[in-house]
Amino acid sequence: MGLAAYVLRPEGRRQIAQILERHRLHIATFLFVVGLLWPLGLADDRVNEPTRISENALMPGQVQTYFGSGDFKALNAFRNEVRLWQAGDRESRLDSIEGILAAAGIATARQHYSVRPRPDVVINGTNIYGILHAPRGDTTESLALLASWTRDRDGVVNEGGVAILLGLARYFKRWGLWSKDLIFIVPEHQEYGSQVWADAYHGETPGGSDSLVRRAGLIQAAVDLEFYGQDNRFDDIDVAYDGPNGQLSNLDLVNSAIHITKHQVGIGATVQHGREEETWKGKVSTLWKALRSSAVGVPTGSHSPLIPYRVDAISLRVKGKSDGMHDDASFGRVVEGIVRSLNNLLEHMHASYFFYLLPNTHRFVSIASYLPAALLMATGQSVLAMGRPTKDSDMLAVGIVLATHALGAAIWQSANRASNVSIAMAYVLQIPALSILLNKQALRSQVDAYRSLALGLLLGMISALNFSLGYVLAAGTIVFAYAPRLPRPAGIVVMLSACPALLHALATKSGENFTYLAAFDWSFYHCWTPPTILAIAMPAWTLAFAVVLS
Amino acid sequence: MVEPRTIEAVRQESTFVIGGLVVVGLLVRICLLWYTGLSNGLEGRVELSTAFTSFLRLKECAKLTLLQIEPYDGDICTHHPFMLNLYLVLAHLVDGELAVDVAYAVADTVTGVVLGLMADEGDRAFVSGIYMLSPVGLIILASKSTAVWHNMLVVIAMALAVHGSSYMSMAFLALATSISMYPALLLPALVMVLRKNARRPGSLLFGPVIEAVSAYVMQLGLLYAQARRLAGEGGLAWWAVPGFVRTVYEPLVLVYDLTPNVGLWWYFFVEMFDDFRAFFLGVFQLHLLIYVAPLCIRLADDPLFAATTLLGLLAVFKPYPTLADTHLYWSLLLLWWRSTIRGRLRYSFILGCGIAFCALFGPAFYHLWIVAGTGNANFFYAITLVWALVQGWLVADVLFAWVKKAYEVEDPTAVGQEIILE
Repeated sequence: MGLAAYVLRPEGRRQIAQILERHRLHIATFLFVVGLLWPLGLADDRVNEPTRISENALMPGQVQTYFGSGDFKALNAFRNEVRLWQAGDRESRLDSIEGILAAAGIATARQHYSVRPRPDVVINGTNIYGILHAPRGDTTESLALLASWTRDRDGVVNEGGVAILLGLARYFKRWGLWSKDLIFIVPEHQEYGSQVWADAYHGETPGGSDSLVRRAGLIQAAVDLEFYGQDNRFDDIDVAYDGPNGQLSNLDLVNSAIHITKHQVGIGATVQHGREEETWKGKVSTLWKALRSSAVGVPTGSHSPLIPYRVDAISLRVKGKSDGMHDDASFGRVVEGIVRSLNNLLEHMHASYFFYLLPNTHRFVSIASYLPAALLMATGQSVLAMGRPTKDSDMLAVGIVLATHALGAAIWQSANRASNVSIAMAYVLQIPALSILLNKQALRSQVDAYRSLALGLLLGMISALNFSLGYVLAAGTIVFAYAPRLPRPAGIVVMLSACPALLHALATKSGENFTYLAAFDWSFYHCWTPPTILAIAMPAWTLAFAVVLS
Repeated sequence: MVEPRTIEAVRQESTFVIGGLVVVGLLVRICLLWYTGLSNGLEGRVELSTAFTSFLRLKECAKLTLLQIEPYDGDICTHHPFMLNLYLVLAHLVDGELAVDVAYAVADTVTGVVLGLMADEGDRAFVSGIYMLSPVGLIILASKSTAVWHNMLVVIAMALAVHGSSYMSMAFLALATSISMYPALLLPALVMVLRKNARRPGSLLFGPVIEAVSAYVMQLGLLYAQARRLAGEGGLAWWAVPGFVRTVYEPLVLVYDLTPNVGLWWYFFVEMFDDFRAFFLGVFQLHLLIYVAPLCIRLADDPLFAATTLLGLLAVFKPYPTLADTHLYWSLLLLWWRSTIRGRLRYSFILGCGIAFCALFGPAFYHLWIVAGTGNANFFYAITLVWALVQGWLVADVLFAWVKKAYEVEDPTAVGQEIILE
């Protein structure tokens, strides 16, 4: 009773507020450290759970897969064809792919597109896709199988993927048990073709690409095949499951694929190309790779563009080795098993998690376990505003913080047309202006407090939408809390090295094309990371820097 | 010692300032509606439009009427015939929607001016200015929600009550009640305001209360008859229920449109078994009624404040609330800001953080649920619950400020002291 009465009385409240205000940096430090180190604990098996299949209809690995026994020769022939196409010209290759699909009895169509991924490079491509209508189904739902032709980053051709896709198309056409249509897509470029196709299929055709002639109902799930290179043997299959902005496929699909790969066909499976599954170091490294790629937020494969359209999509990635244990037919069997499982679905996958982290192929971390990592750091930021008595002049500080963020949003809007230098200047010039404004001690500490409060709230919101980006941004902005309290030269050095736009440019290796790629990522890939950096992280940086300088 | 200015000078200055605010406000609003594409994005947003305030629905009703299909036969047209006919008239004045945009801008500006006129002389510019330039108000206007009209009618009714014109005030209240049902709850409070500010205290035949109430009832009847005629059912017998009553008022009472909104009702009724529906419906509707008497009794010294507090509670507990209802409450609070509320709120920081939290997380979780498909209704409803908590807490805190001010008037030694509740 004594403590409650103490807390409720004004002197009690005032004293607690004073304690909080005096020690708020310590509380914040504690929260930052705990939040930052939190993911290290997620790799421990006492914190994560074994994976399971939640949707009973999937029944992965329960069907007998027959792919390969008769189609082996066809697969080899297709591989040879693919090799020949590389020597020939583009048009005849496109005709040949369409011809093979048409010969199997599948209706085909093309989609042309033209993208400009860098200011000086224009890439033209053509996607080829065919729709296998289910003989006994209603054409309301479909499954998609993709195999890109090539990658823009190194130009290697997806020989195995395309060959197996064509082989599977012929094979699946002979079966009458499909409840959904099957769409076979060969995007020309892994990075661009699949994005253009996914957008067009769902009704959005930005300038530079055709709309689609044929459609097959809602796509419920998709599998992408990546078997680049000339070798046709491999050791294990890597499953990629991430979409843009940290959105993930349903965990059931990932677990089904891994289950079929490991337990039905007997091929080793990995996630994030992880080497070691059981050691703590291996699991942490897998988690970190997942966080890193989700934080950047751009698509990582042909499967990614479909995920925002509520299509659960995975990519099966295989690294060819000349002395591998398994070959094309086994890979085909894996895909057949997955597609047969997906065939059983009556509705969109909803039973399993959409928010998870995978430290290895058979354990997962649910959102309840990993979310505190980012939220504790965000709370650490907000805590710095605690305990101070509020005055009417706080309105001015709030106004300054809001105006800086609004200015950041305005700068983002013009990112498309501006150059690197002008964007940098726009932020850098705010700093001396703000530091002159914040010359008075009282206003300066108020603005610092409200900056951290706003940053904490915004980091929380970002973590809800894209946990990885929230975590990385929260970690990167920890120093904003300390820089104003260091001696000025140290503070300046710290702030310069913690510039979010700079770190983003380094992480994505965008170099001199920073603004162009920022605008491109937003308009083409629908990626939210560039606006987040420019409208949320950079204004916070500007304010913190101004407080350091003033 | 500040030199006291003459009332004339203050009035001239405030008229000038208000005139300037009117011009600026009108221009900003017309530009916002006509030149920016903001309306297209905001028209369907869950926080701003419900079945009863949606501009898209209004256009749908108008289209049905133009196609000679009876708009009130189905369930789509939940707008009152007055609203529908206003839109039809405006949309045909000028090609395109310029007249509609201008009308919305004028309505919102009128609300701002009338709010200012309700305030004391010195506060007029402050109240009008904040209303004219408030970003929340501009966003609500940009969504062209019909709540702009609802709010205008309620504010005019309140201002006329303060002015003492009983008949006109009740006319506007009756109009507001016809269009959206819930302003009826303001009747007792506004009658008390009229009684306080009656213009001709001695010469009334039956007393201000009976005069006001009978004016209200008579107006309701007249407006109902007019609505029937507008909806094309003037020929029906007087006891027959025309189609529009069923389509416009039934969903408000029976709540069978369960589209998500920022209120509390939809989630309950989505998951409720039919057996219990009537019971909970009755309880929820009664819950709104129970606030009227206590507030009017306790706040009898300031019945306008009672009406405002009622509006604040309605914004939380109505079946189909939007941000516009909350904005109306916040705007009305400005009338008491300088005299009563400022410096006496105990939880302003927490509530400010709560509002910022809901503003950020609400759209994020709605996106995760509806657009991305990875979240579910619980995500969004949790934020709605926090919003209701924050708004209810604000109402309670403002009431505390009012009570403290009244206490300070009684006992001047209490000024600036913290109240200790043992």
